[in-house]
Formats: sequence, structure tokens, C-alpha cells
Amino acid sequence: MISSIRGRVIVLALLAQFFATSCAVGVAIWYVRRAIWASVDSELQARAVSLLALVGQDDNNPYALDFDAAQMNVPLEDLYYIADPRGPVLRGSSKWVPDAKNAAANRQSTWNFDYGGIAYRAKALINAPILDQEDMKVPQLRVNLFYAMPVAETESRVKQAARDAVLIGLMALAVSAVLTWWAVGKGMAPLMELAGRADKIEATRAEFELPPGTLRSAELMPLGRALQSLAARVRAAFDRERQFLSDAAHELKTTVAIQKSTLQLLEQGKASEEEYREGIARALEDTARTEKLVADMLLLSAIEHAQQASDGSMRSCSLAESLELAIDRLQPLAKMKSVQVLLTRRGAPRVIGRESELSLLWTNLLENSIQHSPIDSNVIVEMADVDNANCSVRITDSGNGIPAEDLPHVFERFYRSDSSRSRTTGGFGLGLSIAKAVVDGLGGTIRIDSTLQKGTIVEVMLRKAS
Amino acid sequence: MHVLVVEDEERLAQNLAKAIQKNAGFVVDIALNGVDGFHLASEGVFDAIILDLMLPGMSGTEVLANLRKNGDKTPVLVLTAKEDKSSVIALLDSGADDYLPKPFDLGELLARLKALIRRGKGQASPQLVVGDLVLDFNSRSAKRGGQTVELSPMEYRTLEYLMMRKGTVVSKEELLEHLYDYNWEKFSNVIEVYISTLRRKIDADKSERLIHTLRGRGYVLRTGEPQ
Repeated sequence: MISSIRGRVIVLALLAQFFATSCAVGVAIWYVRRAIWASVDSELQARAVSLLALVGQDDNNPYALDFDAAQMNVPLEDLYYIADPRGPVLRGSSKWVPDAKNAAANRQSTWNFDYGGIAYRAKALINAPILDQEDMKVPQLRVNLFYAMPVAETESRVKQAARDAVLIGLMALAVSAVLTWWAVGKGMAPLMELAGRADKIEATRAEFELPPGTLRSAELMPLGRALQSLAARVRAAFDRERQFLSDAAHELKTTVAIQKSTLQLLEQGKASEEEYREGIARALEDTARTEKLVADMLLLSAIEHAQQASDGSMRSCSLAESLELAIDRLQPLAKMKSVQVLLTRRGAPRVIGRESELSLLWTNLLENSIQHSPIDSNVIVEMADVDNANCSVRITDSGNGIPAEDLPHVFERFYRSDSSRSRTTGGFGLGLSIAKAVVDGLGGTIRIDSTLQKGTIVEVMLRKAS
Repeated sequence: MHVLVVEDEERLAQNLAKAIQKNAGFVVDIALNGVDGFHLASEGVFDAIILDLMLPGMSGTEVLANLRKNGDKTPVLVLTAKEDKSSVIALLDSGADDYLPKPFDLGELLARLKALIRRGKGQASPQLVVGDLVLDFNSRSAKRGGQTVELSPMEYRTLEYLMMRKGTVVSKEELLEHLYDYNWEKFSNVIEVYISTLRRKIDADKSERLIHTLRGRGYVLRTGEPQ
């Protein structure tokens, strides 16, 4: 099958044209044939009648027919046969005897036949009244007159006309094929123009402008608009990446600066073995921090990308299980601070998601809560069905709380409130960003409320697996 | 010399302080946020300030702007992660004297810091000369009449400061400000001890006296007065 749309359109157009041309040529040929034969017939009629005119009443016997041979003007190649219907033959050319009965029975007064290797067309005037009967006292005299003309020339003329018609038809077809080719090509031009423009879409370029050909084409506009929105999405994704990197740049540069300075310090001058040991230990701590930063950043990026990929790893997970798992994982940290994590369950909702992400979400949130909780306090985790479609998880701690001016920003990447600036114990400000990314990917919502000196409440609403 | 480091990354601040102390023999104070940094800078007297931009409390840019608004002319070297030209221009325009992008080379930072201080004191070359007393910043050594003079770190610091302010009368208080960090108990007697030790090492047996005491006012290092 032809794979090119242009090719297919052209072939279809040519087939239609071929059909039309064939019909036209057919009609033309038929019409020409009829016309030619009609003119032959009228000539035949004329000659027959002029011969009939020579048949008259016998001067001696008014009941008999007479033929005026002296005025006969019949072309040599024609055949004729004149007979009295009562029997006797008046005159005939050569030895032709037409089949009168057949002709009468046929009801067609003209027919074609072959005689002596030549094709003729004959006309029969059966019981034709003679023209100009002088003596009207006797009843009308009648005669059977047969006249035949050779029609080989006519036939060849018809064939010639047919050939001419077919030839002209073919030429017209050829010309129109070329025109069709050109026209279809021109018609496809806007499509090629759009394709060319789309090829140049780059993440960094601004708006994707639709080319003029597309603007004028009703069929291409939907495609053009789709390309525009695609370009916009590509640009948005690119901008998001760039923003992410720029946010991360400062953090990364700082961590590297710390490592570098620690090591360069060691490099300078002489130090005791103790100092070297200490210095190396510090450098390793720095490295661990960088490691964590890089890991967190990659994690955040992976979560955001996984959401766009939507592969088949989403499945129905038990909310309670994922919470219990996270709580279990954080037991060592909780124990260190003598913090009790209490879980209350209402219902047994399930959500569609990836287990790894759910685990990450709860771990991040719980870790935050435990870190900020004072020693020997409680962190309360409440899981419940909210209605038929949603479920919620609420984590409450009694820590120092988050200042009001920081609350709108807590989910921003690398954001740390000034009061929790201890980079040595705290993270890089990615924990909540990661949590939010996971919640967004699950189609849920997350919010934080906090009162200074009292505590913080994190509430996550998720869609239940239906 | 007395240097203030304002940097919220504690580890980095400590590294900087250690490096400066070890390499240049300067005395270093650390502030971990913008508010403290501004406070210390305004209250205290420093020969140079190393200022990070991303600070909690008050941003580095604000600290700088406020210091300059108050007429503080202390040389400031800014540490920043932003390298784009427009930020750099803005920084320098708003009163920073130099900047270094992070991560930086410790050696480069020290060199720039020292240059900054020298410039701040109107001293272009790494060598200070008063009469036949030559002080070399880089090697932290002193020579009088071509002969090396052995000095303890503290003695060197004192001499360095006096030479930087050569010809000017320097009060004991000023010396205390510039030679001791925030935490040191400031007893002015200490200064007298160092001055007398310096005198012994530098002026004794020399035809020309360089270190002079002006009663009630302070000390001055200058030539032109024979013993």
C-alpha cells in the first residue's frame, strides 16, 4: 500500500478522473456512432426513395408496374432489388435477393449484411405506394423496394472516431494527472510548513508561532494548537528543571565549599597526627552531608518525573500498613528522644500509589515531627476515612511550632525557617518538598498548621482506591 | 588584625577562622546569622569582614547596606554562590570591596583578605618599611638592619599593627580592639608587656628608636628620633 498521503490522494483523484473520462469517452463514442449511422440511414432512405420514384404505372397495363431505367442514377457499388409484391421481379442489381420475409418479420426496415465479402446496409420499403400514380381508377399500386449501400467506410469512420475519442481522453487524463500532482503538492504545502516549524521547537525558544499556511487551514489548526500546547509543556518542564538546579546550586556549592575548606585547611602547614585524624573525620562528615543532599535532590527529581511517566507500578496499597511501616522504621530515632508515636485507625482505606513513595512520605513527615518534638513527648498519627472518596492522615506533634511567616513557604524547595537553621541537625529543606511531590502525584492535598510553642499539625488528604 | 566572619554554615565558619588564624595570625570572631553579624560589626572594631550573603535573620546584602549607611568603612569581602554578573555588580556597587564565589580556594581567600586589609590601611605592598625595620606579611617576619628579629605571634601582631598605622598614635584601647577577639578579657596591662618586649627586641642597641610612648595617649611607631 502506498504509505504517502500525497500518493494516496493522487491515486484516488486519478482513479476518479479515469472513471469520469471513461464515461465521457464512452458516451462520446456512442453518440458519434449513432450520429454517423443516422446519417448513413438518411442517405440510404434518400437513395431508396429516389429509386422508388422511378417505379411507375405501366402505360399499357395500369395494373402493372413499370421501371424507368433510363433515369436511373444508382452508384455502382449500391445494390437494389425491386419487386412487385404480387410476385414478379422488376429489376435487381447483380444477384442480390434480399430476404423479404425476414425483413418484414424483423420489423426493422434497415439491417446490415455481408454480400460477396462486402459489408452493406440495406433499407426495405415494403408495400410502398408508387409515387405519382397517374391512373387513379385502379387501386394504389405498391412495390417492394430494397436498397443497400456498402458501409465499410462508415464502419472505419466510426472506429476512427472511437480511437480519436480514446486518445483525447487519455491525453486529458495525463494532463489532469500532472495538474493533480501539482495541486495536491501545493495543498500539502501548509502541512509540510507546519511540520518544518514544529521540527524547530526547542525548550529554550519562546512561543511556538503557527505558520501562515496553518492559520488559513481549518484542518491544520487543531494540530497546530496541539503542537503549541506541547511546546508550552516542554518549555514548562525545562523551566522547572532549570529552577530546580538553580535552587540546588546554592546548596551544592555551599556543601562543596565546606568540604573544600576543611581539606585545604588540613593541607596548609604542618599538623599533628591528631589534627589530621580529626580533620579527616570532619571531611567525612561533610561528605556524608553532600551525599544526603545529592540523594534528596535526585529523589525529588525522580518523584516528579515518575509522576509524568505514569508507569504501571501504581497499585492499591493499604494506608494503615504504610503508616505502620514508617512508624516502625523511625522507632530508633523516637526512642532516642523518648518520643512516643501513637497511631489511631478509623476504617481501612486503600489508596492507589507506589508503596515506596507512600513509605517515603510518612517517613519524611514523621521524622520531621519527631525531630521537632521535645524529649518525652507524643506524636499522634490519626488515620481515618473522610467520606466515600477520600481518606486522611493527620500527624500532630508538640514541638516548637513553625512561625506564621514561614508557613506558606514550608513546601518550597530548600526552604528553611530561620529558627530551624541548624544545618547540622536539620536537613536541606527538601523533606517537605519531597512529601508534597509525593502527595501531588497521588492526587491528594497536604497542609500544615502550627502554633508557636504549642505544636504542629500536618494533614494529608488522599483519594481512596475505588 | 581583627577579622569578623559572618557565615551561617558553622563548619565553614570554623574552617575559615582556623585558616585565617593559622596562616595570617589574625584574630577572628564568628557570627552565625545576619543580626549577630551586624551587631558585632557595628559594636566592635574590625580590620576586615568576611560576609556570606545567604544569612538567616538579616541577609548579607542588608548587613552590608546597613553598615555602609552607618558610615562604617571596614573592608568587606563577600562570599556568595551567585556568580552572575548582575549580582556581582550590584554587590560591588552597594559597598563590598571584594567577592569570592563558593566554593573558593582557601589560599585565594587568605590572599585577598590580606590584600584587603593592606589596602584598608593604605598599604599597597606586602612589605612594610619604617626606617630600617622591614616587616614581611607573607612570611610574617621582621628584620631590623637586615637582621631577622624573632617574634612570638602576639608580638608580631602588635608590631604589624603599629607599622600599619605608622606615624599615627595608637591608643591602648585601639590595640586591644585589633589584637584580641571578642572573648578575650581585655586587660590593657597585656599591651604594655608586649610593647616593652617589642622595644627590647627591636629598639635595643639601635641608633634610632622606632617605638615611642606618648603618655596618656598611646604608642606610635615612627622614625626621626634618635635614642
